[in-house]
Order: sequence, then C-alpha cells, then structure tokens
Amino acid sequence: MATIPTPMQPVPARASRALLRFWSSTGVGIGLMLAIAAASILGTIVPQGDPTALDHLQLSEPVRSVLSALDATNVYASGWFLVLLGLFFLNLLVSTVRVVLPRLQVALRLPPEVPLAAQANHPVRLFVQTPELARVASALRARGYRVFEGKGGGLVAHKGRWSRLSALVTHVGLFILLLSALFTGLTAIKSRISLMPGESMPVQQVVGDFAQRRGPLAPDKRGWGVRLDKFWMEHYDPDTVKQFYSDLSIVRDGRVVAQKRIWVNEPFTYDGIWFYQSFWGLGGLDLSIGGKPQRVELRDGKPMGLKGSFTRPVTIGKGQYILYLGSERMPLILMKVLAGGSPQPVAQMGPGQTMTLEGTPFRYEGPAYYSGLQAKSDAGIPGIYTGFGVIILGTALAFFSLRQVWANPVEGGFLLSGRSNRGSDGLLRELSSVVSQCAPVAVKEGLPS
Amino acid sequence: MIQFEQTLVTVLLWAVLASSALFLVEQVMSQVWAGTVARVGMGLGLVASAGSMVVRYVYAGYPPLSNLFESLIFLIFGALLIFVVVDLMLKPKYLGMVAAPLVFLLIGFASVLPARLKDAHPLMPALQSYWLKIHVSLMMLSYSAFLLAFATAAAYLVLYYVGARKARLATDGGPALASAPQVAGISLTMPASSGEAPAGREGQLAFLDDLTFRLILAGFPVLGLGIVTGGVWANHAWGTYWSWDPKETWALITWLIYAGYLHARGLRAWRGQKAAWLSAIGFISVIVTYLGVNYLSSSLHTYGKLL
Repeated sequence: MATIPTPMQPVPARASRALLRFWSSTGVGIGLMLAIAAASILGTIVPQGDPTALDHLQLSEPVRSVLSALDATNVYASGWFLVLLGLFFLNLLVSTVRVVLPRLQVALRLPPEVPLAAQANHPVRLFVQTPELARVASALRARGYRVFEGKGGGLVAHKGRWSRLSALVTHVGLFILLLSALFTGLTAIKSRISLMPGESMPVQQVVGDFAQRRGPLAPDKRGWGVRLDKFWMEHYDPDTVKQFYSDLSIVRDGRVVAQKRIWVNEPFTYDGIWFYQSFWGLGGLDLSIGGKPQRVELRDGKPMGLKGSFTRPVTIGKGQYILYLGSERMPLILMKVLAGGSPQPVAQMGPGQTMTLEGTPFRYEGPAYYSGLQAKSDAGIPGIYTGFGVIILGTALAFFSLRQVWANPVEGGFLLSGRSNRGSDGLLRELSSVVSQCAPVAVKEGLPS
Repeated sequence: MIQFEQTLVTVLLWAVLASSALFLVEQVMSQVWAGTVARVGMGLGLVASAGSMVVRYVYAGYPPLSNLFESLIFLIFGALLIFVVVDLMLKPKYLGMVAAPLVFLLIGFASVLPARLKDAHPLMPALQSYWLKIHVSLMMLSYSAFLLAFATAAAYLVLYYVGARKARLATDGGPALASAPQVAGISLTMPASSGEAPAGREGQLAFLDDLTFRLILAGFPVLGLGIVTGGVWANHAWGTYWSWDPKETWALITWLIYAGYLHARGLRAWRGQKAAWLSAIGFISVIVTYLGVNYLSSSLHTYGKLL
C-alpha cells in the first residue's frame, strides 16, 4: 500500500515557528524574570559605580574573575544585562501577539452553550429545583451576571469578562515603560552644578560641561542662564538641618524672565530643564579685611594633611595667610605662610569675631555656602508615567475573576454548573445562594427530589 | 515614646499573643469559643495599632512612617486589617493559627528595637513631602498582604504534609467515602453554606491555595503602586525616578518573583504545594526588601540598621 506523503513545510518556516513558539512561552518569560531578578541581586551585593569595589571584597580568585567578567561593579549598564532586558522585551512582544491576544479573543466571546454531558467537566455542579428558568436568570442577574437564554431551554451567563484584559493591559504598560526608558536614554540630560549666591551659569554650560549623563539625541539649550540669588538653611537644632532653600532667577538677554524659590521636594522648570535642590556645601568664607568686605573661595583637600577646606593664601597686612576650616561647626584657623613657604597656625576665631593682624583689622563673618542643584531634561517622563499607570491598571484588573455559568434542563429543574479563573469555592458559594434563592427546599435537604 | 503610646503597644502585644494561643486551642481542642475570643483579640489589636499610630501622628507632627518602628506598626496594622476583613468575609479555618503568631513576632520585634529606631525624630528634608504617606503606606500595605499570603501558604503546607500522613493512616481500612448525589448521571458538588470556608481536608487545601492567590493578587498591584509612587517621588525630589538603589532594586525583585508566581499559577497551572513554596520565596524577598537591604551596599532608604 502506497503511503501518501504529508505536505511538508519548508525548513525555514518550521524553524521560525519553533522559534516564535519558544519566545512566546511562559517558561521563557518566567525564566527571564528570574534571571533579571538574579542579576539585580548581584547589583545590590557588589557596590555599583566603583571599579575598585572588587578589590575591597575578600574574594577567591575564581570568584573575582567571574565577577570581573560579568562587569559586576556596573551590572545595570553592562551589555549582558541590557541583552537580558532586550530578550525580556522580545518575550513580552511575541507572547502578547501569539498567546495573550488569541486568548483574549476567546475570553471576550460569549461562552458557547454546552450540552448537559459537558457540564460534568465543570468544577461546580448544582441542581436547581425549579421549573422556571426565568427565576434562575433573575437570581444570576441580581449577582451581576449577563444572562443569555440558550436554544435548548437552558442559559449561559458570565461576569467579569473585562478582567481578562489584565494580561494585555499589563504587557502594553511594560512596552510603554521600556520604550520610554529607551527614549530617556537617548534624549535625557542630567547635570550637577554648584552655585554660590550671586553666581550665574549659562544653560549651555549646565547641560554641557556639567552633564553627568547626556543622551546622543539630547536637545541643545542656549540663550539663557540660571542665577542663584540667595541660599539659606533652616535647622531643627544646630546640628540638624530641617530644610535648605535657593532663590533662583532665569536671566535671558540681561533680563530676569522667571524667578522661583526651590527646596527639596519643590523643583523648578524652565525651557524643559528642571532644577532640583539637591545638596549644599561650604563654598567660601565671608571676611572683612581692613574694613573691606570680601568673599574668599574655599577648596576641599588635604594640602597639610588636614581634612577640611582651605583658602589660597590671603594677604592680611604684610603677611600671607592660609585660612583653614575643618567643618562648618569648627572655628576658623589662620595659618601664616612662613618664609620657607610652610604654613604655621597662629590664631583661631569663630563667626562674628574680629582681631588685628599685623596692624590690620580682620573680621570673620562666617562660612558661605554653595547651593547644589541637580539639573535635568527628560522627555521620556510622560511615557514612563503612562507606562506606570497602565501596568498598575492591568495588575489591578487581574484581581477580579471571570465566572461562566451554564444551566440545562433536567427532570424537576435545571443542572447549574460553572467555572472560574480563580478557585471554585467562591463560585460554589455564589451558585449555592442562587440555588437557595430559587429552591430553598432542595438546598435544605442537599439532594434533588 | 510617650506613655499612652507605650500602653497601646502593650495592649497590642498581649491581645495578639492571647489570640495566638486561643487560635491554637480552637484548632487542637475544637473549642469554638476560643476562636471567637481570639478574633475579638485580633480586633482589639487592630484598634490598638491604629490608636498607636494616631498618637504618634499627633505628638510627632508627621505621618508615622519614617523609621523602622513606625513602619512596623503600620505593617502590623495592615496585616490585622486584612486578617479581620478576610476572616469576616471568608471565615478561613486555619489562617488565625498561623497569622496571629507571625503578627506577634512582628510586634515583639518592634518592641525590642533600640530607642534610636523607635523614638520620633524630626524629618530630614527629603522626607518632608506628602509622598511619604502615600509611598510608604502603599509599600507597607503590600507587605501586609504578602505576610498573610505567606501565612495561608504556610497553613497550606502544614495541612498538606501533616494532613497527608493522617489521611493515609485514616484510609487504611477506614470506611469508604459516601458517593455524591447525581442528576442525569452527573455527580453534584455539595452546596456551600454562605460565608463558610469549605469543609474537609481537600476543600480546605483548595481554599487556602485560592486565598494565597487572592492575597497575592491584592498585594501585587499595591506593591506596583508603591514602587511607582516611590519613582514619582524620587523624580520630584531628585529628578531621578529610578536609580538602582538596593531598596528599589529589591522591591523590583519582589515584584518580579510575585509576577512569576502569578504567571506560573495562571498559565502553567502551578497550584497547591508548588505555588505555596513560590509564595514563601516571594515573602523571603519581602523580608530582604524591608530589612535586609539595610545591610547591603549604601542606600537612600537605610533607616533600620540594628547593628
């Protein structure tokens, strides 16, 4: 007997289908989520952003080699982590098209009528002792079901169909989020700047020279500048800062076009650039030398092995002095620069104190602070927030259950059966109450008559 | 802590401790009254935890969510609230026996914290925002839901492993099961009484499995919302919605694990024992997110380091 050859698909088509099937599988999705979770754990164990971090950990040589190969001090920007995210995106995309959408189409259709025998497969099966289908339908409608009468004298009912949108909505939210994050990576600018009161900075410098991160498609900004008019702090007590504030002005063509007071949690935006009150620090000393007020810049460092901030040599009378401040709470130390160039401490004084040095009156008014601002431009934010919102909506939809109910006539009443995409106990309780409402006697006895 | 607040925490501690013992009496000695009194104890604990938060809010002048003690009290409040709601709606049989000791452990932990983690301190600049109450309360509520999901999963596993042995012993030579009533040749399900958890070991297992699933389904979007509001707050305060800080990274890890649970249960039909173990793994991740990250690399969220 001759065999009839079955039509064979070309190898590339079969391979691509197998590949699509693989990439749409839940197992791959779960595996990728767990892999991203594991990679993220690594990033929380090894300090990030410090290339020497591995040297400070006590590791055996093989472990160190593996961690170095994984770029473990820079996990979240490493190539393999980005590949993982890319594969996750691919899995989301393929599974949405191949699995979620077809399932959704089925779920959104009206459930078909089923014959009596098929009701044996439903997890909940009850007998309703009533000859009136309308009573059953009415009891179901009262519980939020949409009820359709069938051709065979029975009915089909369902509720919570929209909850099946959950997976699709969540996946769409993740797409929006990932695409917006990509957009952010391409277009965002993030800078950190420090300004002393009265100091200005052109915007091209803010988003250029001081940019910590600048996407390849980041917009150019020019034509205006930001000026710090005033910076001050409020304290709970001398050692505890309550809040810090900056008065900012935007200056365009020599004119102030916008002004705003900012503090932590109260940013300011102009021309797509956001300014955040981020940090502060010691920037200088307010002094009066020979009755002439002046501000001297402070620099961090340890030129004499002392931790703190120093000025360049300042002329007081005929002498040269380096002024040293260990911290804002410590007194100012004046160090005279001797003939050989080495400084020697000669006096210390607190804010508001005056003394005469080499015949010249010298007054220390106090430390002057700089305001640390974070400047940012990110056109991806609306997309990120939209993605956040859509994901939350999708996950919240999953809380509600889809319930489908069928009734077919049997002798003395109806066989009521149903199924749910949750556990069946809730449905059992609900349908039991339907039975109880329609035929209280039958429920009492627990048996059909 | 002021005296009245201390008194309320003491009431909370004793009420939940007594409930733990009484739930055990209810199950082991089949004493219905003990269960009733235990539920009253849990309700009293709920009122005491809410009262303690109100007192702290009034005298500290900020939402009591800024240090480890305050967040623990909110976590306990959330767990008791969810317990009371679930208990009133579904009357789960074994939940109290597992949940009450877990909540008691949390209260004990909160009570023995050193003063620096317990007392009210002025808020640092970054925490002076309305986002504090929104973000932290959502995170804590999700942890509360996951705590109870862990309790139901633990109850499932105990019933599964202990009950399986008992069931094997009982069926050796035991009476045959009564056959279910039939209509048109189809076996019927026994009707359920309204508001009652199903009877029988298998029914209880299915019920606990479903309850774990529902609690995770409830906690999952709340955790998502907590992460999202944290991102929005961080963007508002620092201009960065995500910075791979250990706390936010572990919150994401927890979210991913529970997302894995929901996919495994929904699409791969992982039910019962496997799902219960996955829920337990998720809760371990919650503990690391809440407490463990304080011991990892530097974090913007380090506020509860004990040592």
